Amino acid sequence: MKLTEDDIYRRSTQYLHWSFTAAQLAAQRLKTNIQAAERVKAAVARQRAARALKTETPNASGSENASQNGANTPLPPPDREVDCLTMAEEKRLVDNFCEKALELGDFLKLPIEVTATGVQFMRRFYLLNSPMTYEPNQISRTAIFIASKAEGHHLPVAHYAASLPKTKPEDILAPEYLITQALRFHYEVRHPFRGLKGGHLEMMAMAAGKATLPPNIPQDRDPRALQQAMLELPRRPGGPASAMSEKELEKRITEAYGFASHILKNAALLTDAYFLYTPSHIWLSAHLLADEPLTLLYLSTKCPPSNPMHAKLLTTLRSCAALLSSHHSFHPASQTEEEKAARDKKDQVELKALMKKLRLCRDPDKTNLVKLNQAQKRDAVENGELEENKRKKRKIAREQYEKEADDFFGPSLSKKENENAS
Amino acid sequence: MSKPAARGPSNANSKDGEICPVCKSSRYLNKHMKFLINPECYHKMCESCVDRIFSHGPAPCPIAGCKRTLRKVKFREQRFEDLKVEREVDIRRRVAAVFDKTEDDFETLRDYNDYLETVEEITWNLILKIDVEATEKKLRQYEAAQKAERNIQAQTYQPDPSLPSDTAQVVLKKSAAQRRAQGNPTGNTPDPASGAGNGQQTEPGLRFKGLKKYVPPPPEAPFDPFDGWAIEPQYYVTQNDYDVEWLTRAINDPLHIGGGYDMRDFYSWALCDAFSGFGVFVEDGKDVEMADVF
Amino acid sequence: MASTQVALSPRPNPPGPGASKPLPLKSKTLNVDNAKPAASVAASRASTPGLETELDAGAQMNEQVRNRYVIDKKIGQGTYADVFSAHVRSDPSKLVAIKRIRLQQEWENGITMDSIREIRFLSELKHPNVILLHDVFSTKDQKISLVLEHLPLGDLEEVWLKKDKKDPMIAYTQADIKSWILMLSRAVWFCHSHRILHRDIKSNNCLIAANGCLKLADFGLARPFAEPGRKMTHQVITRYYRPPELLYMAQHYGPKVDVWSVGMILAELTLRQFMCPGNTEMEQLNMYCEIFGTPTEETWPGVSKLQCYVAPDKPAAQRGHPKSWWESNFGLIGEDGRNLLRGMLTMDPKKRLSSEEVVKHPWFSSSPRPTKMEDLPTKGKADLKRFGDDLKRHAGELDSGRGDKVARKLFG
Repeated sequence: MKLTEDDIYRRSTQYLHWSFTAAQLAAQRLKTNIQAAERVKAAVARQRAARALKTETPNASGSENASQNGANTPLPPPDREVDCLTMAEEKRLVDNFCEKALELGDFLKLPIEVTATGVQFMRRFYLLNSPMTYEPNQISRTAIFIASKAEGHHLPVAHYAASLPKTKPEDILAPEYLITQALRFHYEVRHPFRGLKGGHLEMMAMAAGKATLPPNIPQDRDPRALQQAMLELPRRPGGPASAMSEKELEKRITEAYGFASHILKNAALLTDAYFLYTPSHIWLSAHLLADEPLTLLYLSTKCPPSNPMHAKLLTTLRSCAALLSSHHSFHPASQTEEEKAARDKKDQVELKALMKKLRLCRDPDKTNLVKLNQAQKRDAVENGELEENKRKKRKIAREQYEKEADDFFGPSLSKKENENAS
Repeated sequence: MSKPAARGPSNANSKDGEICPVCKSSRYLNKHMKFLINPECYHKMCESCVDRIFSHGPAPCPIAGCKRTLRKVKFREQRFEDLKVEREVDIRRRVAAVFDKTEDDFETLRDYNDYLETVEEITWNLILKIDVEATEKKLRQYEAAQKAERNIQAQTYQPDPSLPSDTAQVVLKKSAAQRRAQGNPTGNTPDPASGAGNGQQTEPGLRFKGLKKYVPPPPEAPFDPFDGWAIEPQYYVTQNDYDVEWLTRAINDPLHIGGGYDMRDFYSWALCDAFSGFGVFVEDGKDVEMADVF
Repeated sequence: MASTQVALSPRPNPPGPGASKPLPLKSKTLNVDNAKPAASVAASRASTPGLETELDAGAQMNEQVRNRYVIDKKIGQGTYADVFSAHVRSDPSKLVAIKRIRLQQEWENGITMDSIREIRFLSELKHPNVILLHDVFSTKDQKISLVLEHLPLGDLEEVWLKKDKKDPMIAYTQADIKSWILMLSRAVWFCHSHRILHRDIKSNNCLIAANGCLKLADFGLARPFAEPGRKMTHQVITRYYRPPELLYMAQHYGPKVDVWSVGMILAELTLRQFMCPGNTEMEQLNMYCEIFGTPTEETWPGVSKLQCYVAPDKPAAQRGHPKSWWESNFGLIGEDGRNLLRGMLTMDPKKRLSSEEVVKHPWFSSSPRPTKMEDLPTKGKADLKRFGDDLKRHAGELDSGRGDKVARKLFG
């Protein structure tokens, strides 16, 4: 089987299981939202019934029972239907918690790939689950913990829990299976970071006039001509041709790298980019936002405008760039500080309202993940014990019967034969 | 079929077996005496008689009333206590060597079963000595026809010389193709050349329904150490070195050099990542076939 | 059988020892109020119905995967995992092996990093010479189970190593060694071309499929290549197979570490014994220095800067074994084979062959060609083949084979 670099990506779990068209993604989110909302409503109804029962017959075990489950969760006023989050609100919340997870990773000085993988684990998790069901704060801590293991970064749970506020190791471990099942045991996340480095290396070689160009793509330029074209690149799309020195060009490429890298470490992680685009498209889009003329020239050496794929590629990159630049972490030069501050403030207000809404529509069955996990484990163990007991009992009974039968009839013939044979 | 003798027949049989019917010498006098038989007639005699009578060429069987011409090379030790069994096994082996089709050679199980029935009938005819003449003729004709057919195939198909050339008479469970590739190790059929001549002239005799056409295996592909696998980047060429400031430290670090860290591994990795998915458009949806990979 | 006999027994069933006592679980649930601290019981009561009736999407998918397989029996047990043979529920002829990761008591970090790594890399690597991971699921008691392809013919170590005097000696030729090493090298090349280091290649991680195909397994220590400047642990690869740079505690290394291990496997297949069975890391390194000569800055640039490097004290120690030593010990694989072997077992990783160069080495294409995988000798192969043939034959069918078998038993 001959594999190109594209085939390698096509065979990855990220492409096979975690890449979606925009329509598929929306459909999946809607499905999750509807299911979760139904579940929340049913659970709240159950709990209300239980509370009603409790007030009628206040006995010791009943109140204890309720205090263990529902009492900590504020329930909506009983006369009203639960006001559940919409799909868009859910997404907004998850985006926000992903951002917090990213801050947490920075705070703990985790390598970027650990935090980035953790954030993607969260995003994947919330495609199948709703923040109404599982509290994003709890999930994010564990998602990062799983990511540290997937990325081979040694992070003992005790140490990790101690560095988080009010967290015990079991709080981290409890949702592990929950998350790992939702991830369908796919632990590999393909990031665009290294691709950006690769592109940067090539652009620097091109700037030095020393680039080796791929033979199968028709080139109208030799490395020197390519270098010359780069030196004359306009600063802005459609701007006048410039005449940079080699040093200036290198500086420009390095700056573009820094800008793109910032996008990849923020906006790319906090939007749906990983679901909708390939890592290659993501870094190129970020680079396009950083320096469009440079990126377009670079692209033309990979996929010349004569190539039928060129137009499609540009459309894809531009739509990805639009997605990345829509994120509030993106700070284009055109935006003033005041504008940004205003936008951020508006975001904060909206989010606060959403958080409040979330508190009122949490699934009361799933608030305490540690207990949930313990119960699940205990169920399994008890089932296992039951099986074991049944087996033992059966065996003892069988031996008893056989013995008695032997006493009465003498050992069976086949048994005798076997004894003789052995 | 009866059970095989528990011990080698040359050791001890019935009392009669202790005396050679030709020279009348007895095992009592000669402990190392060995009895041999010839599948022409299955008359038993001692090794020294065989040496004496047949060393100078084919000679008639010395047992009264037999007169069959025997050759020394065909003499061998008896494998079964019961000579009837010995003979049946020989006949079966001979027939099976000629009728060597397997189920895979037939279109349907039904055809195969019909074939087996015919073969079994021939076998029993020979064992029970019914219609021996006609049956033998059928067998020879079929063998010749098969041989002729395989000669045609042999021109297109060269058996792999690395396969063990099996001269043993025992035809163990080999693939049909392998058996075809070899000569026919038949027991005591008359000179196959004459049979083949006859067979080609006259009608081919037995024919079986539902036989698949023999397809020779495709010629062996030229050796590919990667067995067809290759990774061929299409959008980039990795250079041996790249001159960027943030790599110079690692490039010159003796710990990287001494530990065997090769910067080229990183270069090709970064470039592969840069274009892994360059031509893949998620919005187009996925090939259904790709799902089969997992 | 026993139970039907019991049912037919003319006597009334004697009361079994357990019959009068209710089952433990029952007693717990019946005596809720006084048996257990109310808190946990209440929690289980409240949560269990939700779990059973309405599973999460993730749990549902997990359940689906789990129900796809039926476990037949346990076939292996280790400290790290239990292995079961199993089959696909919808097609019982499809066999798989299920590796169930054991919960380690002393491991309080949740799911082990080894199992996460193994799953991560096996999910991405699909190649005929890399063990195929069909599925992953977790059991009810939260043990992760890897559904792997069924590889019944043992591992490569069993081919050359007689663990037990009773084991039959498996005879093999140069062409057979070529075939195994080539299949292994393809697997290693494939990992490296996906920028994955295996870091635990040894002959008992090379498993053999029913058709003789060799499959590289156990990716518990695998990791991606490292970026420049990023440190990796040197505490990887089983000692006998560990390359010198790791013994010198290098933390910036590359795919050549795996090539050394493959070279060691080629050596042990040829020698029919471990090439360098050092009892300690120090001893291991000394063995290398004795065979290959002590490395110096001239023979291995950068080596003197590695953490554990000790300069040779006397010049004689620098030399290593002469060519004749290699010829007399590795006669079986010929000039080309020795050439490849020494290319893989080169102390300086920069000069060592890459996995791609190994696969392209002329030894594999020169005569004799590598044996076809189905013709390779393997432990227990004859039995399996016979078994397969037996299945193919129809009941009551007589063929020449039967008489021959008897004859073989008589004379063989």
